Amino acid sequence: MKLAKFALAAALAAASGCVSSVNTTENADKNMTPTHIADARFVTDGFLRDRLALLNVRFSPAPGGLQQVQVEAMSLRVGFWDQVAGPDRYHIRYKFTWFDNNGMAVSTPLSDWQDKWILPGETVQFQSVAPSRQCNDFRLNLMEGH
Amino acid sequence: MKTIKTLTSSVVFGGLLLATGCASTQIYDPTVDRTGLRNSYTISHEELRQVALEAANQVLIAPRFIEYVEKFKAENGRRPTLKLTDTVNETNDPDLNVAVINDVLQEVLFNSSLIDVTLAEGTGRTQSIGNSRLVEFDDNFDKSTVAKKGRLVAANIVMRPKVVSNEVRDGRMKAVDRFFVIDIADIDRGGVVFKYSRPLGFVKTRGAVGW
Repeated sequence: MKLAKFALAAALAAASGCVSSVNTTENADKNMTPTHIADARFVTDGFLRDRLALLNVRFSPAPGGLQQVQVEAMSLRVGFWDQVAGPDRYHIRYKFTWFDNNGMAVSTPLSDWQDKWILPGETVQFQSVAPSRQCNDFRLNLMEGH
Repeated sequence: MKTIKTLTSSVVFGGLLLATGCASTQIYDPTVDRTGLRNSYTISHEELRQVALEAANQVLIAPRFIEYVEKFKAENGRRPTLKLTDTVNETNDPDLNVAVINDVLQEVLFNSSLIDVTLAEGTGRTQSIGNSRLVEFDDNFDKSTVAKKGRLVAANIVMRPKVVSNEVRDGRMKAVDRFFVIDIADIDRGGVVFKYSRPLGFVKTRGAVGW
């Protein structure tokens, strides 16, 4: 019995040693004045929604007059099983599509799928700049990489 | 004996047939799919495209570059014109072609209306622009439609990509680091108005034989 308890404790200790995630600190009183916008979401992958929290969407004009967008996200794959089930870094693929004032998608190299690898608990930003001044609306597609 | 020969021939023929059947071609879209293939002797299209897309997002909002463009437009009443220069190639591949970086950046900058791009000079120049002026000596052409001399716009800014690749080996492992740098400089004064650098890397572990 003692041996079983010892083995269980050792296994838990070993397991907890494998789990490492990012801790974060930042200034509480912010100087920035970002423009947050409301967002509409359409979810087809509930696992991705639960593992990658989308924290906020910021939208602002860049110095050259083009719009830029930033979607802030945090990887919630911080549990033991999350990390046992997959690699340490969470592979996310994303794509921004920009639309002109007539609602037509504007095809540019910036609309390609791109990759990002996120540490457990890490906060990241998905950023994109509008390809022209006529583009003021965007869509972000996100999916888990393989 | 004859039976053995026939059997052996059949097996060899069958094996060859199977091997031939194993060959396949899989089409993929580089804007969507990733092969993940990396080679220490040359740089993949995927690596170049990744750098190009990230740099393109940066150049459109880089404060010093935008400041330069706005100042140029205010002083000259037109957009600055970009030309390319030779790539600085510090890799194992003497034939390295970084056209992906150049073309993606040019396309993004051009479509954003921040700059103009010239094909009349620089690394990407085409002889046909100059040659088109020679047709004025051909009586078959209407001379009023021939491009006039002295109208080509010289470049004001130049873009130079630089790629450095290093290898470190330790036992069966090999780490390859790439460092991509993109500079855009003001031709008039020589100062850099945009700089972007991006490291990429991968590790390969040697198998029982070879890499």
